[in-house]
Amino acid sequence: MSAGLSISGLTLEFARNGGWAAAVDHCDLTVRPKEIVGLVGESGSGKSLTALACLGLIPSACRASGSIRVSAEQIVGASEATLATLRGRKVAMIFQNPMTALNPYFTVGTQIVGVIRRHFVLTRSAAYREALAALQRAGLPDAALGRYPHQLSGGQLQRAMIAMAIACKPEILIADEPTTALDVTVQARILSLLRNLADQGMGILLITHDLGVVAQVSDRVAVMYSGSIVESGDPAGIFSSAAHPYTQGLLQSSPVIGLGSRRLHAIPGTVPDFRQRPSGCAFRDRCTQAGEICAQGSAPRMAISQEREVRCHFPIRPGASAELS
Amino acid sequence: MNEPVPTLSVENLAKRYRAQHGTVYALRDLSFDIPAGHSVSIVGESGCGKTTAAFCIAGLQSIDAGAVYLAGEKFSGASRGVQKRLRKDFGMVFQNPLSALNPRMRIWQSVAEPLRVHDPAVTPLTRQRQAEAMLEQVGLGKQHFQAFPGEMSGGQLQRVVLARALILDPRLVILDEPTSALDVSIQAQVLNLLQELKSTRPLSYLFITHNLALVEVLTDRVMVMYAGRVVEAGPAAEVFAHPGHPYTRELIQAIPDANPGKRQTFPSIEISPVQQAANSGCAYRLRCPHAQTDCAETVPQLGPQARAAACLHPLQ
Amino acid sequence: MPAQMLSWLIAYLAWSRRNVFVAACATGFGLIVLLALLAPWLGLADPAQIDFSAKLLPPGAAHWFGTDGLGRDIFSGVVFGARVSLLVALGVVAIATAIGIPMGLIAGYAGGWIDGLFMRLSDVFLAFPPLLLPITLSALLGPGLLNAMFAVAISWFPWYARIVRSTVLTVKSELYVQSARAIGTDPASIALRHVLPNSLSPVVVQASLDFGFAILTTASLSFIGMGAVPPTVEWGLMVASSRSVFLEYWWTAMFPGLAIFLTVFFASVMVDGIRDSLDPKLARQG
Repeated sequence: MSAGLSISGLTLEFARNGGWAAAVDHCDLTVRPKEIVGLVGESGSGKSLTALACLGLIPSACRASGSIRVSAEQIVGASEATLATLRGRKVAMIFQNPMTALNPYFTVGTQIVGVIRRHFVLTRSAAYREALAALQRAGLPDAALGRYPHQLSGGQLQRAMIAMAIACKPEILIADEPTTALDVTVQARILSLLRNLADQGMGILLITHDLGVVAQVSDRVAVMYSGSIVESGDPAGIFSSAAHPYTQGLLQSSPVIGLGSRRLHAIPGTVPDFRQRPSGCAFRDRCTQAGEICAQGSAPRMAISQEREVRCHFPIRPGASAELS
Repeated sequence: MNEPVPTLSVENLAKRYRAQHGTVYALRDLSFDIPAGHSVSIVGESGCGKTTAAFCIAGLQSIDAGAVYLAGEKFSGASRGVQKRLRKDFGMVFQNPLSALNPRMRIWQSVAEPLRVHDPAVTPLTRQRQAEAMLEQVGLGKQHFQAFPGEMSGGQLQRVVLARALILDPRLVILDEPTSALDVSIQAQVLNLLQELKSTRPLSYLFITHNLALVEVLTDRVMVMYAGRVVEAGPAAEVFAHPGHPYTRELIQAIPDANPGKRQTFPSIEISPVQQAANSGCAYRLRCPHAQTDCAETVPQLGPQARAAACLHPLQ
Repeated sequence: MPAQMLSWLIAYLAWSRRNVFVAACATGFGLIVLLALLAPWLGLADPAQIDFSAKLLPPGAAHWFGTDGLGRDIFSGVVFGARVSLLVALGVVAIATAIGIPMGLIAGYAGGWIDGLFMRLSDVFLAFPPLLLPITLSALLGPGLLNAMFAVAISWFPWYARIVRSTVLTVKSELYVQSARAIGTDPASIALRHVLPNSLSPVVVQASLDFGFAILTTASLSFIGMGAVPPTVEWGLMVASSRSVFLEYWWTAMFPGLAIFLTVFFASVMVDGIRDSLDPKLARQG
């Protein structure tokens, strides 16, 4: 597959006690054009690091191995020069906090034009026209071009960041928790915008911890826990019958409106620090299904159906729902 | 018959700010009671005034109008001595647990602080014992007692803040977005803990949140705020099942449903700041799909009934 | 206790491996301090002992750093002078912080007219060029090392007031201070238990740096005749008294000058290094 994002065997490690500890361990993920892939995980899962790796932005203390291809170009180990041509042009990123992602000293227009002229040889007026087009696609009025970041609201800032990211029409957009800091009504609109962008051809990797967001806008889902992707597949399948105990635990602990007062199902324990992971499956200390084999090496990837994969020795069979509903 | 005194009683609370174009009300006409043993949520989006309400009720911000009563006694505007005495009866939990704790104090010391302030006769050793007992009740073990806040996770820290809020056995706990900064699975743990504590002692919660799905887990009544005013109030289950105010409905419909089978369509047009709140009449009218001419002239009032919506043309 | 000290030593050595330069300077500074502490028991000649028969002798076996115009042993003078310089520098920093920290705390925490008053008072001091005020105050107070120490401390305390005040302003609005208010803690208690301890880190850094500058400033004052007077042995004074002869007899100015330079240099590098290794930890926790 030449277009889109293709992550294969990605491992991101930090030095520890003379050895290496993997914050992200052999991850495989693909994002095709026109599709939104939701990457679900909580803090400590390694999802943000994965996102940064796709743009070659991992910290210098981190060692990357494996392959990340963006429209057939290799990111892992690429030179700064190569990366600079790819960032913004082929792959772009938007972040959780738009206030800190935009330079407060420059107007939105200046920043977008800057990105455009970095990748294309255009006159200033032509570049401004492109910037305006980007703003329109992001749902902002033309007047936003001349505004400074502090003059915009949270939702507008996020749209400005999106406009900057899509200005050069990249193939892949990586969205790292783009709506977590936004009100729910504003979030709804941003999600709608992302859906539109995907329909127009962009492939989006949407990173979030919110299962509702994932269920509503993604075409495929990957669930990440402590550095590994534990389950992936189509949303309908996963949400109706999760195969991995962690996914099921997440679904059951997510509060849903209208279900009245009841005790939430809580996954006991906390996510282990990647430097102190238990041997074998990282989830086994918190897992209701864990067996002895779980302590020896991580589970192999198993295909449950054509679309779905799970990394577990004891995946939950569809129909066998857990005691709590 | 003599009705028991409500744990918390708020009357016409208002808070103003001076802005470039005149006075802005962060909070206006807030009135409600929390009867003993009951809990109430305040929900809304950013800027609606819910956090201002929490801080004003807790006496951390000055108020410009209205009054706050704790168990019948006037708290707002009372003397320093009276306020200090009344503070024993309520605790507060904040949104960001790491910044709510003094980074240079061990967590047992933070938890023991209310004891030190209100009961100077108690010896430090007794204080420590009591703080440690409280920490165990919220699920933290011995290995954490001497730790500093920077060494613990968000979920653990929130338990510490909770322990500190409960150590004097208050009747009321004000929870300002207690789980917004926490992961989903940790959030569930903390909410379960809050439920458990409420069931084993005579405790009321004033629960401030932007996440409507959490309301029913802890409270029976909900108040929806918009632009500084309460626009709808009532039993949570009813309000969510049959919202009376268009804003409540907009909020409910905007929540992404974790059921991919039910695909929602979300509006795509940006809500501009101008549309966020109108200056005359109903503040919501610029965003409201049902707005009519009289909405621009009259400010809708929230009725005193148990179930009310501040709307001239309520839904249903 | 010994186990604790051993683990500290191991940690220090591990840290030294990564920061060789800083560790070297810290060791150098440590040696100077050690020499200063042990001076009376090292069997050195009396640094104030005048001996015209031995005047202006070059460095040699009898006098490692040579002798000055009055026949005083320069090596002795440098070692004993270390005691004076280090002590005075400590005194300067101690007095400046003792005045500046409470002032900054009260100004920042109370705000209002108190803040205004204290800050305008500081502005008066801060308006002077760095060395001018100590000179002026010294002139007013008269010569003498103690007077010089007070002069420098009085000139410098406003910096600490400023630093503390600005940190206090930030800390004041932290959530844990609001928590303390919500509990019912009274303002004085909040200021001392919550605000002050969290406002001190920039002061520690500044004070450590100022230690080096204090040595330099007192030496400068002594050089122009405002600070130490004979028979006190002080590095600046030694350089001053060599003024007329040092072109021909280089050792009379070189060694005391080198002592000033090295001490200030080691102290500054050491402080920089400590601050750098403190900062990332604070950033990581936050």
